[in-house]
Amino acid sequence: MAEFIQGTMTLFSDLTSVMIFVGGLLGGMLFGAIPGVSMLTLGAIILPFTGSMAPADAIMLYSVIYCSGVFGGAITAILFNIPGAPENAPTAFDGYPMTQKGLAGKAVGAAVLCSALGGLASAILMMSATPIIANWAISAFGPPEIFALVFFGIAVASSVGSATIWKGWLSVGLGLMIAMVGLDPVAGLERYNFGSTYLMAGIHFIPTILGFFAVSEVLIQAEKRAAGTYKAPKVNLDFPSFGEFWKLKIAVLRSMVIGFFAGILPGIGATLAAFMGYNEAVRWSKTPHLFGKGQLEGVVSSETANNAATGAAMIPLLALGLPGGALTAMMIGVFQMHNMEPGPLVFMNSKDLVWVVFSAMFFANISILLLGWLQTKTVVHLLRIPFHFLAPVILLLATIGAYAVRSLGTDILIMFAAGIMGFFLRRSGYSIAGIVLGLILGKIGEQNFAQASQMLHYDIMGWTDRPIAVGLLIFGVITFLAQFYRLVFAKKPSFSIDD
Amino acid sequence: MRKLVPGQWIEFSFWFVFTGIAFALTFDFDREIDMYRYGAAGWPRVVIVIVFLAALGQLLQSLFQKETDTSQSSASAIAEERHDPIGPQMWLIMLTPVAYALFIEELGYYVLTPIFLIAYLYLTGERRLKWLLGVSLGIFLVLTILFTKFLYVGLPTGNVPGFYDFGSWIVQILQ
Repeated sequence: MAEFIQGTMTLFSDLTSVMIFVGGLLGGMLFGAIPGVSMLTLGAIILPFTGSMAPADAIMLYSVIYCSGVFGGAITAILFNIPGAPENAPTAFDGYPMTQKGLAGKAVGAAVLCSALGGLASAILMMSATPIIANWAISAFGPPEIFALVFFGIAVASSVGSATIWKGWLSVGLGLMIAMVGLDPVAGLERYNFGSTYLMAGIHFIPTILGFFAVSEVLIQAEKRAAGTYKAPKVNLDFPSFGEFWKLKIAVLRSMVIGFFAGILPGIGATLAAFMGYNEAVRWSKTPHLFGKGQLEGVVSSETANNAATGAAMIPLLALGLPGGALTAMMIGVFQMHNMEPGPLVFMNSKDLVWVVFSAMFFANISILLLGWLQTKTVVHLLRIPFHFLAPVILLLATIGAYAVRSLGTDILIMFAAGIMGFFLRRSGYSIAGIVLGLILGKIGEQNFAQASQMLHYDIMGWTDRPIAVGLLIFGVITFLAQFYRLVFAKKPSFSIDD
Repeated sequence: MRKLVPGQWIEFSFWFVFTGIAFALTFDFDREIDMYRYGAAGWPRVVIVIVFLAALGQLLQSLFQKETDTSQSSASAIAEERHDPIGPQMWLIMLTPVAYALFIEELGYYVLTPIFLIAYLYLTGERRLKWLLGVSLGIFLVLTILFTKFLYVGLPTGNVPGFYDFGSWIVQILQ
């Protein structure tokens, strides 16, 4: 506690540090909310300037951007079906349908509160248990466990958002197939690139996600407008009531735990945390068929989990020097620019720096609560703009976002192709969520399966020595069998497509 | 047994042809890797077989399911299935952004974007000239200034002489 107070005093006693804190907070929220131009863009832009900052200020700036950036992407996901970053994609599954029902205020309010709660819980855990948790997670989670986690995630995702279980599997399978394009993750052999150097680098997920979510949504609304069936969403500024939140306490706690543990694992991070949080909410719900139609629990689960991953991602970074994602990898660069090495020695040699970072993340999450409330009361009014004026803005933002990733015109083409494909797939009852999850998890899954196979010398019995991996694989198989059981033996449909 | 509509036949044909071609193409990279027994084609083949089986399952369900029986997984249901044809106006709305994407690197963002915005607004039903021009220009100016001047995002200036010069001139003015 004394260290936390000391870190807080160091943070707020210096005007420069306070300005950097506020700048990081607002910058992260802004960049997080603009599709394509994510918090990573901001991190990359400011990286060269951090050399002239004090080391504690530079590291603190990135940790604040991480917290506010992950939250920022939820706003556009809810209002326009444009996730600011992949970790906000599951927020759009229920957040956007809530907007269409005139419940945008509730969805954004829930995202604000849950992002702050998830982030705060994660920051507190991070402060109290960094070295112990980091050592456990790194030793207990190897490639077999990560592959098993991916398998379980895919099995659950196949049951979300499609008209039939077969279409759920087809959606996930299509995502996995898109992820195969490029180089194979073991030996770097070319696959499905047809001699194109562009395709050799694989199909980037940012243009694909923008296409499947934003462009397909614009096309669907355009079709409704052309057919005369378009209904403008109602603007509502109601925050969720305390009673509504209290009903979701288990979902919040569950997502906190999922987000925290997913955040610790290197390479998994906030994206899988958000998908897992959402999937588990569906799996444990008594009314799973209502997910994807505007369930507050969907928004709550996804946003709690992705923000809970932010504090957790600092644990392997600070304790072991292992980055969990792109932004934490940039933080390693900041450490190196100041001739420092993150790892166990940081806790001994730069204790002040560590506690300034911890305090900054704690207060960044509290600030999200206050700023987010203001944002809810203002940003929701964007929905008053007629959709046919908003649609070109969305298309142009998505175009710039897709191009900004790698400065390639082909990425824009890929985005619009994905958008048209998404339009037809959504019309035919396929799940965009499944495709995106398959796309994101495909590479991670294949890479870890290959490493696990090599590690266990291709011996199936070798898996039995990895209880966590076996447990996750069994859960995945049970999830699949449960879907199949319902399909074959259910006497009555639990719902109809027209529900 | 139910009769499938033409849209469904197209859908199933797509999946079977797609998986067939994808599987055939795996032989292009089916080479041995010293350190990895399953090779570069192992994972893709498993995924393709799963996709094929899922498509087969969907076909059988569509053929043998009763009209009212929609026995799906309890967690599905967002999606609605529609197989009605797309009208010519909708095709134009879809293909306009594709044309924009095809020419953006050659003609540049700064020339092509205002034309694209006007065309898109027109196709989606806006016919009032003042609104058509005003809204298109407003969106273009606000987003271009935001991204070019404040966020330093490099947007395509074009390759064709004249178009490139114009694009570079705008960037110079803004920055």
